[in-house]
Amino acid sequence: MQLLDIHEPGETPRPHENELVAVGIDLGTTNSLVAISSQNRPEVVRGEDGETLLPSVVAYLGDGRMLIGTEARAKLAADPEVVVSSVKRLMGRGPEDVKSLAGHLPFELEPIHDGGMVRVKVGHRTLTPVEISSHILAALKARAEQALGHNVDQAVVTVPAYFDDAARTATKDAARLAGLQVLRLVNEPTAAALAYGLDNAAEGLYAIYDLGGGTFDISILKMQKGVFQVLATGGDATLGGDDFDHAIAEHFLAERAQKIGQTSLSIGDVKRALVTAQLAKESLSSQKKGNWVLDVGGQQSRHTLNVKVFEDLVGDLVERTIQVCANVLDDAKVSPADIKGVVLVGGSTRVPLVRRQVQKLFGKEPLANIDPDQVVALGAALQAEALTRGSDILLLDVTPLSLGIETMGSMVEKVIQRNTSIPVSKAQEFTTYQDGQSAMAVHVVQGEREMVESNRSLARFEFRGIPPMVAGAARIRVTFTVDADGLLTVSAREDTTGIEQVVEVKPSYGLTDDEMTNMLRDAMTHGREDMTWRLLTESKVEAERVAGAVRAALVADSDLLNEGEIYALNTALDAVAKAIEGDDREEVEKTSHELDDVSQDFAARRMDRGIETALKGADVTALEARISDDNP
Amino acid sequence: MATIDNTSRSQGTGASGSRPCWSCNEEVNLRSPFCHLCGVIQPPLPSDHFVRLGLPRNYDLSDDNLERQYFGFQRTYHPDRFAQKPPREQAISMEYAANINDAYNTLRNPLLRAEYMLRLQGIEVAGGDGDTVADPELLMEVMELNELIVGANTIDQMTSLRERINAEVAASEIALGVVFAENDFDRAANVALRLRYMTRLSEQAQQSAGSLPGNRKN
Repeated sequence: MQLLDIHEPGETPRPHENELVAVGIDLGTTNSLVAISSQNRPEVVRGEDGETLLPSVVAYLGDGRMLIGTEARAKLAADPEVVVSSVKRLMGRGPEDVKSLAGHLPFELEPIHDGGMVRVKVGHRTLTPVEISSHILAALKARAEQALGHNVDQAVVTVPAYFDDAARTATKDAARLAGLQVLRLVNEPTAAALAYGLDNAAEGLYAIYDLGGGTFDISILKMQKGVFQVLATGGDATLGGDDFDHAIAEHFLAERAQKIGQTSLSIGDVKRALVTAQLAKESLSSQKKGNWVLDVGGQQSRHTLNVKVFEDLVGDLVERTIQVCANVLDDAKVSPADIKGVVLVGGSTRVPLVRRQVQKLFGKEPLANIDPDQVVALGAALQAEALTRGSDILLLDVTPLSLGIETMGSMVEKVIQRNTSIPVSKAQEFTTYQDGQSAMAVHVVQGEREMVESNRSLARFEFRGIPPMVAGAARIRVTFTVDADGLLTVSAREDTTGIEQVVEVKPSYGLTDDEMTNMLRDAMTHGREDMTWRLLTESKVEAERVAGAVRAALVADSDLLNEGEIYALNTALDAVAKAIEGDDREEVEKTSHELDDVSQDFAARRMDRGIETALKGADVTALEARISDDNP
Repeated sequence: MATIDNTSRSQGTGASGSRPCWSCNEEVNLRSPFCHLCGVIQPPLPSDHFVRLGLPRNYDLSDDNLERQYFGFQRTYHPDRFAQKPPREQAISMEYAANINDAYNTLRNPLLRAEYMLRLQGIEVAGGDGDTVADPELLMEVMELNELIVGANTIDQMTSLRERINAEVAASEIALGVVFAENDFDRAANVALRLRYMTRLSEQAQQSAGSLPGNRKN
């Protein structure tokens, strides 16, 4: 086939199959996006439906098929039991965390006995949030491959700045399951700052206010000459537009209970009520009031909601974000007046109350001249390009939460303070408190509170082999290292003996290595539908490429063919096009090979013409130079 | 994580000799962070924060200069610059970047910078948590200011108190510049102790100001 890929002199060749292209992915609570950047010009990749947003919704059908995005969301009303959405809220979470998430959760969770990550029951399957996220990531990967015409296996994936170590690790695991190597986890507000800053040549102090579907982040950055330095970051990993929906849904359900009495609601009913609430919220961003019909428990009820009531319902939630902003300004040691601009990110910043409150705190109208839904993905793509092609851009980020160790009396001794620039490596010395103590339990926690139980427990390990000494004589040096992805590694070393133990922090609520191995194996062997779907996509991409090349050749050199040959080629092209529309991989490959066969002769003739053109008027040295260029 | 090391300021200043490149085995000058033959990054050697940022060992330094050096070094050593390199090179770049971050965060803070410079001379500043303060005059002054902070109950009172404490902080920083320039480390240790107490009082005053009624700016 490559014979057909003749380039006119001076024409830029299409990216080669093996050329490194890394994509930027915004894996959101409500929607996800994939973007690609070339020469610092990022663009969001559209799906077959022409949309930039892929709803972060997956449906697991009874026949083993899987729907992702708009099609899955469409199933929500009729068949909510097989649909799962907002799974990002569960990333890296254990059963205890989930209990503390307020409101009705639209998830049916499998009871867990042995710790570990929560599992979601959906349709006839039981899946971890990591697996569900990996299915969304795989769909984004396929979308990018379709657009580029070749494989994509490297990505920059964004995470909320306030994501803890467990949620970050879960995100990285999900990417790995989807066949993507994560070049870097980038904090969402930092990615947004990058896209905004480069697009507007911004210099100075900026605040990025990012209110998404399930998470809230605020970062203060200093931007100058291609350097994006995060001064401080803060947020709430359990606060987002979803909570606005919950507030409205609860309001509607309370009204309904008054009118027609309490009825018991299924998980499906809750999901339906949330969909109605979301529609109400979105419409109130532009309308003063509206009417909605709630269809749950087999009974319909009518509800009116105006902006005033809506703002009363969500006022406290918005105020919580404003309070976090004030604290982060303190952490960064800047006042609102020092901030040159406030960039709004995330779909929930469309809510007028949010804009008003942000404007009030910072004393200036917030900036929203990049689509708040797209800006994070665009920044991720820019960073992906920087990491693969090299760049002058420099992102200097910080760790959002303090990291420490449990000491006597369940107190926390902080080893790394929040808002420390990463990567960072810090050591602290600990000692034994009993004569002859031979082991020491190391409990790693993340958070700002004094007492262990108020913080997030990340990992526990036991440091053994301490030689017998009197209490307080041993010197155990514990080193915390946070890498550029914000992920923690802990190592411990006893100085008199030199015994060393390095522990990769596996979050208590994360996946164990065994679980991860099994999932990877599942994805390889048992996940036949995933595999088939993937192979089909790859075959389609390849067939599309072959057909595209033939079509281009027909436009350029159809004078080399007689009518019969042109007819034969067009017939073969139609066959490929038809096969691509279907789901039969063998048919796609067969028609693609047939087209390849039929076009062989044409390719040879084009090659001859290419050589003739090249020879014409070219002196021998230039020709030799060109031949050696073409054959590196 | 490299610890502070008084004896070897090797990397930038006194270093001589060579070591074999871990990748191609070529002898590489100790001063060179990259192999001149294969271009691969070499593990960082023990060094100090001033050398890490290419700065002279002076207490007085301008924020602009410090920041310029910091960004410049991170542009070279940050792991983002090594994203397509083998894991070992990525790990080495992370060590450099972590050291550079540590250097920047220590040197940009006037108190940490003073304490660090004293530690380079083998002097630990006394008066840490649990230690007793040797200087009774300083202790009296601190206790008096502390009582004023606790007693202040209007924004105006707190503002003037904060101004007074911040002036003490600034004066201590200026004094440190002078005594360090004279290599008078004993006096530097005394002034650093004063700076530590004043800095702590300043933080307390700021916290107390935040909890006074009517302070939130909305």
